[in-house]
Amino acid sequence: MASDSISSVLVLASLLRGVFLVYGLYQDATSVFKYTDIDYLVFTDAARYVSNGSSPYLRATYRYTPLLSWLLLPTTFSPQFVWFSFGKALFAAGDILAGYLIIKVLQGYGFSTGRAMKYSCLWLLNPMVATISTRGSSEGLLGVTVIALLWAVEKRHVALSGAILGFAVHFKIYPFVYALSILLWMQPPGQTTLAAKVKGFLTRDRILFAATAFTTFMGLNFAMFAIYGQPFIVHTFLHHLARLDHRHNFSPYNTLLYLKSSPFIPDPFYPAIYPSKLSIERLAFVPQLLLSAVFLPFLATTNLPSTMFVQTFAFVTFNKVVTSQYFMWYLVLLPFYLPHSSLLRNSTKGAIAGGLWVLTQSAWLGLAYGLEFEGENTFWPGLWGSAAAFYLVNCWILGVAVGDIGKLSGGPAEKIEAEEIEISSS
Amino acid sequence: MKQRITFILPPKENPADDAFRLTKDSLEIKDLTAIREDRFTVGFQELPQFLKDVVKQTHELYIRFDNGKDYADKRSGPFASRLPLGVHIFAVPLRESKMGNLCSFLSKYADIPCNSIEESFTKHKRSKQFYSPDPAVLSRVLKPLANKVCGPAKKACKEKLMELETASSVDVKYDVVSQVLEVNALWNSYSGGNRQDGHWDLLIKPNTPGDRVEIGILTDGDSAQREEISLQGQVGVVGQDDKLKPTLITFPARHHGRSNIYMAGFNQPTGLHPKLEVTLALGGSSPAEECTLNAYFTVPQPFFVDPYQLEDVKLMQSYGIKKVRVVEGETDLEAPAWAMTKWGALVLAELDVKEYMKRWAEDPAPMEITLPLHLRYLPTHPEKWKETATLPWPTVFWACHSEDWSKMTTNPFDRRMLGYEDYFPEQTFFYHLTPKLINTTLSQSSLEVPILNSVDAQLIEWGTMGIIVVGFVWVFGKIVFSLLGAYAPNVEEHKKKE
Repeated sequence: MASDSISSVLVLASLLRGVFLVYGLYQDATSVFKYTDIDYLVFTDAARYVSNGSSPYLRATYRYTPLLSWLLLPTTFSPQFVWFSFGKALFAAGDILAGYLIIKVLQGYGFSTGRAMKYSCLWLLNPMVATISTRGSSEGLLGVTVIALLWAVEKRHVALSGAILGFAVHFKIYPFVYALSILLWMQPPGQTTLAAKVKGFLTRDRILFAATAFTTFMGLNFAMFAIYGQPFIVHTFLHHLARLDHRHNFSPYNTLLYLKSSPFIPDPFYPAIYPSKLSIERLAFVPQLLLSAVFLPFLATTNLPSTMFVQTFAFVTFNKVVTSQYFMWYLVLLPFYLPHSSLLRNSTKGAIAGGLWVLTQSAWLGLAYGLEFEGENTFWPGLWGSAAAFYLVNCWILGVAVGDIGKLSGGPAEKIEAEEIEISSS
Repeated sequence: MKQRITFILPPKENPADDAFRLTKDSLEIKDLTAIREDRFTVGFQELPQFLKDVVKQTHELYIRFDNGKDYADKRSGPFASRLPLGVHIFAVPLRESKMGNLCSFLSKYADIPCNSIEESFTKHKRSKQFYSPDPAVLSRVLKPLANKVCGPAKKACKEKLMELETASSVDVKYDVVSQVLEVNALWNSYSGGNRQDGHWDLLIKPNTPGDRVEIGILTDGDSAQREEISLQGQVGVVGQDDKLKPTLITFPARHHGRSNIYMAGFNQPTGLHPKLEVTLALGGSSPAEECTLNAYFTVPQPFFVDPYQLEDVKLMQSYGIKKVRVVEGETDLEAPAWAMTKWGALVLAELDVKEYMKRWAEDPAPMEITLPLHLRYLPTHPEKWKETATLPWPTVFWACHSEDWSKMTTNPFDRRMLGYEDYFPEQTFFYHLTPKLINTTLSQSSLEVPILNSVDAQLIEWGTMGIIVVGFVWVFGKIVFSLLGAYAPNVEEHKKKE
């Protein structure tokens, strides 16, 4: 019966995506406002280059691993009206698999099937997720990779989890933040003191995990480099380090990046005043990586998936570029944190957090629309202020989440979960 | 140096009897209403050294300037070809030359930033191409050029060069085969004379007795054939002929004018993704059945086009464009204006005239076409909140197949290498529509681009740093607090689930 209801949710989620996909075809055929994401055209153009035996990097703005264009090779098959949508179907299928694995992992944490399904619906039946993948954005593939990583780790498939991590980092760099959490999580029992933990750090599992992750990552890189050479390195990795990212986005650094990358003309009234020589925007990765890749992983022994959620949340919040697609990165992990969240237990607090998150984001979107389409000058203080407010709201939520995870270690996790089952079943 | 001066009178008008008087060594023009073209032909050896340096690195060089006005009379006569206003340069390097001298000439005399041709020019077939929409370039370049060419003393020489400032268009052409530099200046309006009321009043005299000055005073006549131009009048050589000789010349011409007008403007509000809308009064007719209607756009910084967007046939058809045939030049989709070194891009679009003509039968409204554009971010400024960005109007023309194209080179006013005609077969006629300037003095449209005002630069810096620190400290504090709780020795050891 339980598995019946799981399949019914999966069928429902598939139907939702099927409807969106077909609707997208209809909109693309009838309207000049395209449903299909611009990036999907980039991917499929790149796949076309690959099918002709050329490099996917011949397509401008293709900034991904060649593996993605290989995966999408079927989009070049004929008849085109069927095969062109293959990628969208693949991304949607990735969504469904991610949702299924969310249920499996939650069940592994002792969640009843019903409760696991309830939380997985945050992802599976979320119209935003379904829209993003059926429009042809590849973020869904990343979601399934991260959940598969989590699943493999929890199931103690050490070598497999290392391989998945290596693949994920090759695919989209940021999952490297999970490396330390997973290593710390592999804490052998019996090491009670810090000294014992340090001394006994090198376990067989940890070495195997690190070795498979590193080999997979480097193996893929070498293979891609051997085939596509310098453009692969430039577009997949270096581009993300060197890009200017001056065009407005949700990041709190955005206005500063525009200011500092532009040639500076001194104010005639205060000719001595220049922006500081210290480029704080160049140090933006310091707070970001300290939180997401160094400090937060130490919470992993308490609850790995929730820790991965806050890590991703911190990575995105403190990033130099933030677009709404990046929200997908942590949304896929939300079902693991939410059961422990004080934002869910304390509905007032939860409503305030959700409200502020939506409000500050809407404020930014309104101002960005004014700039982009009405030609209004909203750069400063408007866009900066709303991005700053959104950032601070995110930080607050992040702090709350960290506190919630910290509380999990105050006593046996099962106790809190047991309480919650009562709440939810009453 | 050879000089050829041609006056073209309005159709069916003959010059008054006292309009010109030829003497032994000069020609006096009085009160003549006409379009005027001056052609100077200078041999390589006659050029001043600094110009020799420029042209000797080129195999072919074309520099064209258009003032973006004087359209009213352009449709008639042999000067019908059109370009968007501004400066257009096409340069074919001689062998492997980097044409560094052309580059330094441009930065020194025209105030056009040029580090190297490689950095500033785009590629157009075998030539390097540059464009600037600034109509002030001509007057800017003439003054220092006149000083350098004429030397400080020769006032007459300087005045003659400075006269070019008022020309509707100036073409400079050099090629290594003929070793000749040719300058064509055109006053392409019947009201373009040197007198208050727009008539010509001048004394034409060779600078030195050795110079040859050819004169033509011609009337734009009717030609029996559509593709032909017929001119009749009198020609002669000043200082050589006693009398001007009557003449009648007829030749097939590549470029013709059409009286159909068009105008352009941005759809409002413009934002960062402006659209240029071009309105064409076609009157429901084309020169011939098989002709295509085309628009040639020059898109300078900070504007840019997204070639992938222009490839979208359905979208472009909704904009009245059948097919974008050429996108050439700088099309980086992300970089800000200050990271760009190239001038911009060319777009040649074939308009969806068939679809329009179908509708025209029921609804005779003007044709509307739209070019979707985008704007780059512009540098911050302490005193400004916006910058003006200017886009020239496109030239719009019918392209038709011709039968007697081989004779087109016999046209004494033939103009080649305009940038668009080499995308059509050799045997093509061009019928140019006429820009109509309403509420504007130049064939261009401008808009305001919002920019970040940098007067609060320090506040932006400290503010950003401040909120980052606040957010970081809060999260960090929560982590420390949580970890202290988790790793505190008195807490029961956390048991990992299996």
